[in-house]
Amino acid sequence: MGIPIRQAMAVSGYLLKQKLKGNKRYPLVLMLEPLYRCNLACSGCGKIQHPEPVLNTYLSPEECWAAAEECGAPVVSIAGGEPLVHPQIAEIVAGLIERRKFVYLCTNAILLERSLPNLTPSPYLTISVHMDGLRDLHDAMVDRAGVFDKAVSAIREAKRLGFRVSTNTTVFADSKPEQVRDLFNFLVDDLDVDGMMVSPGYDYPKAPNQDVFLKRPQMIETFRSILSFPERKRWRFFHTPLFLDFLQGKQAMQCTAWGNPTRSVLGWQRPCYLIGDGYVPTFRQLIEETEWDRYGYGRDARCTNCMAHCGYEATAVTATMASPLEGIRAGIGTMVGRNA
Amino acid sequence: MAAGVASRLLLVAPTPREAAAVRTSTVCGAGPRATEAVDAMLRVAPRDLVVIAGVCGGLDPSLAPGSLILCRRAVNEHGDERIPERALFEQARRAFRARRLPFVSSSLLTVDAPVVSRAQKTALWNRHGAAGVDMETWGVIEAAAAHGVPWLAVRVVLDPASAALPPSLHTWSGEPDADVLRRVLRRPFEWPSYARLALQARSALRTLAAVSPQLSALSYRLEEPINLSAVTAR
Repeated sequence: MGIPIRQAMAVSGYLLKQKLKGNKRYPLVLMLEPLYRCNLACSGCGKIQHPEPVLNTYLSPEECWAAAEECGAPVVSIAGGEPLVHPQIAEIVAGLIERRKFVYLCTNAILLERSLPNLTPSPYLTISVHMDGLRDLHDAMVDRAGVFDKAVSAIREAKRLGFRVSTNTTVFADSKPEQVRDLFNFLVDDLDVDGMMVSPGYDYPKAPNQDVFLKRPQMIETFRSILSFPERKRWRFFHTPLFLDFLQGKQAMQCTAWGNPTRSVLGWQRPCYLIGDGYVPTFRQLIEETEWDRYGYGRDARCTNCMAHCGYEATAVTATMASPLEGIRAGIGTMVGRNA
Repeated sequence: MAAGVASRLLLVAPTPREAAAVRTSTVCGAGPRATEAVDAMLRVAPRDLVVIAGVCGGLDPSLAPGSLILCRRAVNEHGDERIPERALFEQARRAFRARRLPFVSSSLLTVDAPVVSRAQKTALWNRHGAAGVDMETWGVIEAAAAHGVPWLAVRVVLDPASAALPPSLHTWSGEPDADVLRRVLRRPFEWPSYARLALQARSALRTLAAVSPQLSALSYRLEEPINLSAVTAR
């Protein structure tokens, strides 16, 4: 199964409503970071280099729900940090589901098996497990042995309990297309995950190892190789076909930074999930006071090597809605559980 | 060029139609001839500032016809780049904002031949990240730099990234409108494309006209010293 029909319909309805209202900028996915604290220190991560007082600050469930209501996006992706480190994460998730939000609970899965009894399977909840490669590559990327095996075990248990499980793979310079292919085959064939997300790593200036990041032309080449393997037909992505075209350089796109607004312990992050040019206290201020046209590929040097789904999937979704042909293509993908 | 108030502006546009929109009488010609033209103009009458304004092909897919691009980086097909003098660039930015003119500050790519297909535009966008593509900006900048004159480039999107140009324009190199018209009349199947292009041109020229007062005022507003060392080549 690809993107669930219920979610696809809800997002389409939401988009239509925004168009009818004449809204120019509206969020699709709220990136909720209820904490920056993590139990890993991955070499390509730029999220966890905050000072201790910030790392010790957690958003309360009420703050998380208020952020979801304030922003109004139909989808909430809970990231961080490691969300399962948050002592009230189950409460946060339950409250968001109560508000009819499609929740993607992102996790490295180290604490997942222990947390599963506190969570309830729901068509609104997807557990999104971070998987950068098979055992050796993944453990190297997260800089700790045994994490891959823990994640695999947790995915199996979550599936057994009836949870929807997807994976999120970041492609780095060290990831060979064949390795990514083997990982996707494993995730689909052995673990039977409901869907996969894939994105090139963003070259966070704060990341401890700057050598792991691909430059834009390399990204395009790498994704062309990955997505040209014959097995691709079996892979179920939680992406629009247009976004996958974009990754292969077949589709020109500009970033839609406001599509995935980020609420963290520091406030609403300006302008996007990956770049922190300051924080504002309200979502309205974020949307109205940010100079959005200053950001994007070609406009800001920090966007040069960014092809991440948090910036471009919103563009792809909007373009899909605007084109009947692309709409049909994405619809078929949703119905048959594969990307056309 | 000394520090202080710049007063001698050379505002050029590639074609008479673009020149009329930005209210200048200085047409530098389309394509590579623009370089020689600006070089000759600077030899005859030294200037303090060169501004090129005109239309361009859109590469940034978020830009519709009529979108204004303030060049923050000019690049040619070989990847060489030049950056405008910072004070000038900021001044233009402030002026556009003060007039509430929507614009993006991005890169402009200069090529030798028209970029005609969507696939070409996508490839150039992926490679250079330039918001627009034209055939003169780089040459004009080179001429200005050769004379030690600061420059600024402003372009307005004519054909967006999602649109291909009509086939008869594929070999266009700045011929007069009458020649193009003769060619078009012989190809009725291209008339719809030209009709669309005409509408896009109207929108683009309207934006050029709107920005014209800000461009003309640039030369008289420059109050910070011009730092020529900021004009760099890779």
